[in-house]
Amino acid sequence: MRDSSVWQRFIGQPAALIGALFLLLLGLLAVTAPWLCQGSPWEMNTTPMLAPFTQAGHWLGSDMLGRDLATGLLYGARVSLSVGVLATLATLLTGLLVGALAGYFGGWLDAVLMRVAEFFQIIPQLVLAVILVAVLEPSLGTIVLAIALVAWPAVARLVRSEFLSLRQREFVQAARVLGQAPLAIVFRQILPNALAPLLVTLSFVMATAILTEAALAFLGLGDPDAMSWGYMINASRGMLRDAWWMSLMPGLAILFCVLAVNRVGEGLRIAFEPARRPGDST
Amino acid sequence: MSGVWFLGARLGRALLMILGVLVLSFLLVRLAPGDPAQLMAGEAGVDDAQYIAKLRSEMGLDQPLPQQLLHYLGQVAHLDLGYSYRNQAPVWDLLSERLPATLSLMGSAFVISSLFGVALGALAALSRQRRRWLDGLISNGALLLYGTPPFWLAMLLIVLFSVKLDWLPAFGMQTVAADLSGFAWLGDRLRHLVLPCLSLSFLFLALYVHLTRAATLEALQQEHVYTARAKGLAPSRIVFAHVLRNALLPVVTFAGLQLGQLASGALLIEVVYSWPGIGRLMYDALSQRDYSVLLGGFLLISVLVVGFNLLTDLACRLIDPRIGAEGAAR
Repeated sequence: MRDSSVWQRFIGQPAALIGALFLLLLGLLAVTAPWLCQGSPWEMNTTPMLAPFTQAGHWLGSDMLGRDLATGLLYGARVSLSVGVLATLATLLTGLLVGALAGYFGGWLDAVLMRVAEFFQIIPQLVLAVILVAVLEPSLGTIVLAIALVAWPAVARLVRSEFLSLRQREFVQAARVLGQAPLAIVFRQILPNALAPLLVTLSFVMATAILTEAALAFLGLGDPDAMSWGYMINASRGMLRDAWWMSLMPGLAILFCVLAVNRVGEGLRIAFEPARRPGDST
Repeated sequence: MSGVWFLGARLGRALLMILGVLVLSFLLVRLAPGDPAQLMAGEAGVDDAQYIAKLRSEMGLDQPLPQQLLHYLGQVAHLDLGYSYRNQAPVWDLLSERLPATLSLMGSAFVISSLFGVALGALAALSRQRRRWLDGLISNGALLLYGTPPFWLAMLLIVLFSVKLDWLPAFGMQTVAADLSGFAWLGDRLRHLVLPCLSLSFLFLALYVHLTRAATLEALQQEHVYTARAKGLAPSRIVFAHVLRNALLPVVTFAGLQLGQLASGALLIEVVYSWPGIGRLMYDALSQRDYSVLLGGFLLISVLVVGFNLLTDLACRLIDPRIGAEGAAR
């Protein structure tokens, strides 16, 4: 069975497995945060600027307003993970649509769409995302929209090139001769065969989405109702001299999250392509 | 494809991109919910009805959209990027005043990250056979840097080098109220540049290491390298003449594509270090919702990125003349 061997090859890689377990644990903590923590992350419920490991109940200390840092971290995971997942989905849908249109129809439509994709890849993406979120006012929806708007070209280009190479292959031709509808060919024949490179690209998109969300929140463009890691880092900016540890944990959380997503993507790549040895990246 | 034709095609593409940037920044304001004039006036100007009426006629909001666009393009062609009510100055003046600071930050980070990135990436690839630990160290270090949010890394560097060790300044571009000249002035500027430049370099260093390593490994597998080895060429000559030369092309292409990211990174780094460049200006404009400054900054940075991208395209063609032919086939 091909599926089981892919699975076995994936869990056979320690780095990928650790990454996947970390993300699972983080997801679990994020979902259960309201039950794990007392009160909201905005609540000022202890002495300000408490150092880590000095007071029971506030193990990671508190910020300059007396807000519990551990609570903030858990609620921040909710934002990073939900933006990461939603932005990746939105990017996937946009990229699929554009890439499939370009690859299926070709010609002038392909030329125009690929020029547009190139355009969005070359211009400063974060700057565009910043302005878009600022114009539309920050919220979960606008942040996801802005990230998807600058991230779709990578997926579209990949889908397009898979379409171009796969549509000439015999099994796709055969499906066409048998009279399968174009949409059925896309979903039953082409996409399953493009799955491996697509998953790798999506892991990259998700890592970038998490970093972009953090950057937006750092610039003050996070969802104003949600505590996020980027916001926590920004809040600690003025405290570098007196409480440098305030910025340490949220930054590490972003780093671990991005590394975990990256390792899972790399693990999937190796699991799907056993011919290439591990370490021969890209 | 002749050189002139190639140059013309690339120039045309760059111009189209700049037009795209203009249309995008035009649409951003007009597609947003609410009154565009009120939006452009920013938080500071909202109460000033007279100012908003003036803006409305300046933006031509009573005309149909295509005419507004033409009007807007005409204004930009005359370097009229609007007026910042908050700063009481034309946007172009604000931007051009801060451009040198941003360019020096981006330029120095570009040089440092590409030089060290290519060197470390090649070193990692070449030591894959005999010194695996070195390859592992460089590759994993690059991975770690890639996942690190640049603004957070910048803050950690401040904690270490400014707060704990007190070696380097953490804020601004020069010592305030110090009347320096000559070498002392230059030294002061350089000392202020070190941390921002390093912070911005690290992310791109990681990307260059990763890319150069992969490209070098690929180039090492090529048949002409085996041939060179078989005929007894000195290893150093093989590396420089046959391997790195071929590995450099994807790296330069990538550098061109990555310039936008570099500009985005500069925005974050300038915020952390209070570096008096365009990024810092835009950050201040964010909190005041001063959209004329934000859009002007986006426009200027994008045009610069497209321009430098054109230059790297031409550099690629110089390294490998086959590129033009490939472009004709597409």
